[in-house]
Amino acid sequence: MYSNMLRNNLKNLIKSCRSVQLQIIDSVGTNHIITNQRRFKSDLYEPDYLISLQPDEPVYDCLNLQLKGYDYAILEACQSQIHRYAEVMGLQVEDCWATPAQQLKVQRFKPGSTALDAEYQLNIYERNVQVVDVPAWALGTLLRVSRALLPEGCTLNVHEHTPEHEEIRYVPDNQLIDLKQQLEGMGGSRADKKKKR
Amino acid sequence: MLVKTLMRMNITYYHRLLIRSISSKPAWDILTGICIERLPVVTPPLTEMQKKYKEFLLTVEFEKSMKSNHEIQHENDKKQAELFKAESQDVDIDAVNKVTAQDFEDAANEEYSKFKFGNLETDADKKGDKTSTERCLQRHLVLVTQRKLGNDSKTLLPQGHWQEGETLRQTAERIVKEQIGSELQIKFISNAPCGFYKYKYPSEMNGKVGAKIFFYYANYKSGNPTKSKVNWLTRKELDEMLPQKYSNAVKEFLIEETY
Repeated sequence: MYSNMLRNNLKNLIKSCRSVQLQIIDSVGTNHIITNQRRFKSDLYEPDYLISLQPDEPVYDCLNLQLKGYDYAILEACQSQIHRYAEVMGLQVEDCWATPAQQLKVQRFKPGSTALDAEYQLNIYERNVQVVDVPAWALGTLLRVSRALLPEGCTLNVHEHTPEHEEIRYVPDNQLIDLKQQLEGMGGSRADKKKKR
Repeated sequence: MLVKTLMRMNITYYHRLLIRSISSKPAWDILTGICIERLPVVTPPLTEMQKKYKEFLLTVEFEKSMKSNHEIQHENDKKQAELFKAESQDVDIDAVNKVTAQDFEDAANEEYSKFKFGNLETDADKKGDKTSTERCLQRHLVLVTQRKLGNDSKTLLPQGHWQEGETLRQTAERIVKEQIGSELQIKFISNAPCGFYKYKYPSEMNGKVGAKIFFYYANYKSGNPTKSKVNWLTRKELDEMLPQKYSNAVKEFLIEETY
């Protein structure tokens, strides 16, 4: 009789401690931030798979925060601030890069004629911050904060990362392209010779 | 001894279970509130601290940076001018006649001084008209309506009841359409609420002890509210007009202004 009671008490004690933990340890810079997905079982003797089958929280895979502006000193400061905020929030910042500036020539004509009034040379510089595994509840705050950080003349564009964005970063090898074009001009590549015996 | 403590633990545990099963859980009304914000159109002025820091950063940037094309050309022009003064034969006339860097800088400064900036004070500011979004271009404006709770009407963020079968975000969108009109274009930023406020009714209504309000944040794009009279309030005015505890809960998720 008493042994039964003892068993029940032990079971109740252990119930409060028993849980199935899925730990994802992120080390971001100098901050070690551990994101836990703790799910508690209601009964000690329930099988584990029942609660590990519950869906994970929705997470955005790879987001690019693209900053564009006319003054790169200010733009770089803005990029570093956004990076700092993302790290403080516990998000993993995968990569930060810059792409070559877009050079604009703006001509202002006198009204009703083609005579040139003024001509300006402007560069639109670009900086990117790539954030990975953003939980859905954190994205709203990140967007609000980054928009509040933007200085004058800068625009922010947030989109998912596609292979095209990766391709733009690579500088095309002009020599290689020239050689390939020469080869095509000479009649295409030679088919592999089969060993004649 | 051990048996006694275990017995006591048992008794308290079963007692707790009993109380839980006898007393019914208090039921709460679920509402969603929407914070529609018009972001500042013009950058706000810098505070003292911000000015000092900006100047500091500019000097650091200046010291660390290399010479720009403009500066290099300016130095070359100076050298050419000195050579021209010293020996008037060894100098190309072409090199001297072109537009110098100093000329370009002077022309640019002149154009800047002639440029007229837009007026910061709009008509709505002069009239003190709180219903338009054109007022206070440098501040954040939040949409606020009048609502009757019990006997008195209070100024609150638009809110409404959650219905079975819809998500909180859908409730928020429905409330905006019903209470403010579908002409107003807004953009929600996430499916998750950004704030929370709960209060108890003075007496139990419809079996509910009180109400829990979940706030959603949305950005104002364009359009005018058609269905009810709304006011667009700055942070200071929000502080004054909203009820005290409600205002504390709302301030939790609004970004503070620096000036």
